[in-house]
Amino acid sequence: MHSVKRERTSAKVREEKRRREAVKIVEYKALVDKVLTSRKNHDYTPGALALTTTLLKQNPEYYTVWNYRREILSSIFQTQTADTIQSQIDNELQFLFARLIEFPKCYWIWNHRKWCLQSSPSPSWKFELALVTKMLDRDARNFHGWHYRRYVVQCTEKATGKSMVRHEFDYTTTKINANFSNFSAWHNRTKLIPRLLTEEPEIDARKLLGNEIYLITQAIYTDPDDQSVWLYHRWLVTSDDIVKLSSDERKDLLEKEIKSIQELLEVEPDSKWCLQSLVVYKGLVATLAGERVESSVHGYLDKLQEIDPMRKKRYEDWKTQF
Amino acid sequence: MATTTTSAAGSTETCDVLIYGTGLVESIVAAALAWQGTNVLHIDSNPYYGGSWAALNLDELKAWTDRVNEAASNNTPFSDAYLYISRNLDPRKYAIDLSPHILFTRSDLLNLLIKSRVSRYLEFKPLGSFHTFEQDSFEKVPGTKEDIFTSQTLTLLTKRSLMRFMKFVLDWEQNTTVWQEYKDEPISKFLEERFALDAPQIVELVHSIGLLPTPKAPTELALGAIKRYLTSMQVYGNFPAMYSMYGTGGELAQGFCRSAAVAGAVYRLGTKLIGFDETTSDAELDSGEKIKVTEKIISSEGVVAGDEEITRMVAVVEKDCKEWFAEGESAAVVVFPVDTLDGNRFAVQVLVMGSGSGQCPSGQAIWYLSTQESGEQGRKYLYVALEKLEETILRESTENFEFDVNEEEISYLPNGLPVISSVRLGESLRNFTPKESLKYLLKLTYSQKVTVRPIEPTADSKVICTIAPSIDLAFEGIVDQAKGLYELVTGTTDDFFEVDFEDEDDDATATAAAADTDIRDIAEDKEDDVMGHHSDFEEVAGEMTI
Amino acid sequence: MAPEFMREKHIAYIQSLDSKQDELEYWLSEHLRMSGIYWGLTALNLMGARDALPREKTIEYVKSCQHPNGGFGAHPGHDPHLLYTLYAIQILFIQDALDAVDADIVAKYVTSLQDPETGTVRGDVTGDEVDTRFVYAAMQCLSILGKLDQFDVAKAVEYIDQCKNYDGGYGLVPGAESHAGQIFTCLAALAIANRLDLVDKDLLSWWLCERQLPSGGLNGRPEKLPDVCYSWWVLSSLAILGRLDWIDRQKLREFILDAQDDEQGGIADRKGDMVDVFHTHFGIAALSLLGFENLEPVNPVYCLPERIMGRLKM
Repeated sequence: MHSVKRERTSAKVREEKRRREAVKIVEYKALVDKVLTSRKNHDYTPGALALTTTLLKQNPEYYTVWNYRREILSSIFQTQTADTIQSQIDNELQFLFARLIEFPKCYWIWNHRKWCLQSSPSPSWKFELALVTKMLDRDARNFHGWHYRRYVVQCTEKATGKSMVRHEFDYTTTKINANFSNFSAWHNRTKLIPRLLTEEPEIDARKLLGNEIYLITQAIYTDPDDQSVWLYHRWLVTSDDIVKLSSDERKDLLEKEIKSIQELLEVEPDSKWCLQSLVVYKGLVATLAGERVESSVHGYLDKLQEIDPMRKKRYEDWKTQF
Repeated sequence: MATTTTSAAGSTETCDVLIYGTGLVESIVAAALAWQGTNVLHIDSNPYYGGSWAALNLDELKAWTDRVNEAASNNTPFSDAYLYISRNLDPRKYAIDLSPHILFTRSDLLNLLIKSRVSRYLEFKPLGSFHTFEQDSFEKVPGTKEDIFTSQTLTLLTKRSLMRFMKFVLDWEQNTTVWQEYKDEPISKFLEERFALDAPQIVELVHSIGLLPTPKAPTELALGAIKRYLTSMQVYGNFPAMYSMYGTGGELAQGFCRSAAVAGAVYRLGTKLIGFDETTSDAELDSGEKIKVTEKIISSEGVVAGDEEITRMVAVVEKDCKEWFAEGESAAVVVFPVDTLDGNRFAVQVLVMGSGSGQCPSGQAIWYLSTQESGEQGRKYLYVALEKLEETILRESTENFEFDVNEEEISYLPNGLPVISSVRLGESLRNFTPKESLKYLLKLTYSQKVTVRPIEPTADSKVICTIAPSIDLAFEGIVDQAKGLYELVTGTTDDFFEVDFEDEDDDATATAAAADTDIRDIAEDKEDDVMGHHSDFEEVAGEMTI
Repeated sequence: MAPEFMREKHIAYIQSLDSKQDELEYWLSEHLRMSGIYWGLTALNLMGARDALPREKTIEYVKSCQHPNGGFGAHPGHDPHLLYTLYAIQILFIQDALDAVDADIVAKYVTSLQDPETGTVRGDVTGDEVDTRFVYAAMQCLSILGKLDQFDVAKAVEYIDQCKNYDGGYGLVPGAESHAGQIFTCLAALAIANRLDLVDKDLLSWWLCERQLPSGGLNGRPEKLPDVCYSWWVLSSLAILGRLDWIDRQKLREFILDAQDDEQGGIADRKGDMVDVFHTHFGIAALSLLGFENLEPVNPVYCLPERIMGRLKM
């Protein structure tokens, strides 16, 4: 269980709880018994389906019952027309949606939803995209949501034969503009940009890189304490996945960014991410130039040990690299 | 249920508390007392609720103007009213708010509205557009981290300084070392010296975010005001404040009166209190009735001698002013900072209400202007502001607007976005002459006395006086005042609105309802509207859960 | 000052788990029985109390959860799944009772879940949920059974490599964001396959050590709350990469000790929250890895007592 506060209760309260739960336990066990017996008897009727509905509403983590539910539905579908199957699945999707609102991080619910869509004669990927967009509006960091979103996009692309990479790239932009402390959105961008550049070769990769650096710099200056933006910056500045730069070009880019970060460091002298980034970038510049690293780097590492003592050993090890 | 009782003698009723005037503060008190079982008789000399907080239709407004100008019998905080109304206006289609206010989403008044369930009687609308008049145009203020991040006009270092300040101000009360020595110093000095903020940022923070009258406002007070705005963002959506349909103050007052009536308070409009005998505790009404008051009289009329006088102006214009509103909204705040109107010492604050507020017919809007400057000077500055508003709306709403911009004056940001020098823009726009002129359907100016003194009962008297609406555009201190009055009557604030409304609050149906709404939303989103997925505030307003 | 490690209380807590039959939660979490026994048993072993749970009973219980296809369910009557199969084998391994089951059919079940084309692994035969957790589960399970050669390790390694992200971390499938839990399973799988050379050690270690927050606790990814279970996943990952001292051990220790329940024993996700056997296990495993509280050593790749690793059939 996560994030459930511990309660110091009296014996009296505990006794009350025990009495209340005693009834619920009897009911629950009876329900479970009925469901498992039905399954043993190969009961695939709507009545059995209804039993599983009640049980799963109370306990969506009971994965065995989801399996049984799929057995029932598969059996029911065998005797139905495509239209009836579709409406049955639509009901199923509604049922699942309400479950997801209550338990947005339950693997089994997401899995069952995928199964429904795969079994659906005409799945509405548009609806699914809107649904997952809504889920991500509620919690932009829910990785189940992002995972499902990628799945829906993949299925849509398969169904339409058209790439959605530009659409998804714009979606991450929307999410970032709404809240740039979104590690999940930045991460997705790192996967979408290389694809975008491959699928739309007319895009000027250098210009795109320039835009991204402009964007991330706004974020860095707005909140230098946010890890995700610095990680993204590092990827932009060091990766070959966007543009393959020559040694000299890479060096120039690094030096430009070093300057920008140094300006920020002046107004935020205790910013650990500024300091760490400067160490990384100056180190890279030295490697590219085939020279020894600047002495300022040692100064940065000393400062880091001072302001971030929990990771002292890490900075010590880093120092030995230079 | 509390009711007034008739004694055997027939003509004298009794009540515990007689409240005279249905302004906001005393209406809250009426409800609070009634719910605790007190017999409340609540009367008002006007034929409408709200007193000095009310929103009046045009007939009521004319009567009000006459009354207010009759110095001898004027017992309101208002005076010197000049009213012009165009002919052929349907008087009932207007609700002119005498003391316009907005409600921040993080405020004790909103909490009280929800706790008391008076919010269910009201229809709230969002207000997210706050503009500062700078360089001859209205700049929208950045109020969140995201606004700052996405701004195309702030420099990187400015973004940093602003963010550093915002982070500090959200928790300023704990960080006394930073501001203690500036406690009573001007906020502008603090912002400049401690956070290295530049003039434009200081002006915006002081005027449009803090809604302060001048940058000389003391730091401690100002930080509270600024924090109020910033913490109110994102409570319900991308806006920090709300207003109620049909005029906020009056509607809130009426809402509390309705609540009080449900709890058993008795209401009489159009009834004057003409006398009170301290020895017999008999109150005499203009109907001739005598009411025996066992506890206290709370009066909002007559006794308040104001300390400060502000000036207000109301202008109804034949323009919908939608250019000033954010999408889905129907109101905006515009602030003219000090020294932007030929030497004004105090800001001029404007609340723009579109027809969506229910205060005027569609195609029109109401401009509520106010300033702390009094008398002739006050009116002068309001007129200058009015001119600027007129220029701006004509310019922004006109279709055939063209102006000359040199290619050289356009620079490009790294991401390709063109930016025109705002100084140059201001110049061009200053030279613009509109083809049409603005039609005013109504113009009203008046003065209003505002008290800064706390409420105190006169030594052995049963009469307590409330105070009139304040200078602030936001409701400030209302709940504290109401609690203060409540305490003077009952001796405590512990049971203030501690009410068991004794009905169901089924969590399951609430969740199911939420899920249903979401599903319907999605089904209706037939367009692949990923980019502009905007939750409709109307969904939220009905069920104001916090 | 953090409280001391409440060994006796934790032992008692684990022993009491099966007796809470008057709590609804006990019945609602039936699908966690097998996992609960693994977590409890490992924790007890690390605390040097390996006999605190009745050995024969646990072996019988595990056997009763096996299905004809070789897979194990979470509890008798629960369908087979790879995760519970792993827990089952781990339990038998700890109890030195692997001979209680037919290793061949278990291995057959596990290997049948690998996709020969992509190298990834499904969770069960009926569905197609794939996840790098399952790759790890399969590899560990087969490794314990001495049947890893029946698995396409090379393809699995390729798949894991595709899950590598720009920050050096790993996600649950290619394209998914880095998450401490997934990073642990990927690193452990690569360790079993002896392919840690594919890891960007410096970059990943940096990402991992930044999980430590001012409270001393570790979170699972940026801007999230610290949680005792991440203490294990992040810590064991750092251990596998040889960078255990890149975090402040003492502060992490205090964070974990603060999450103990001084009344009933057990450890929670963080101070003040309700305890459960899951967090109790991970908290104790982390403390062992940190070298505190006189606990028996734990193997960071397998999350099993180091003591039994010698029995591993190579």
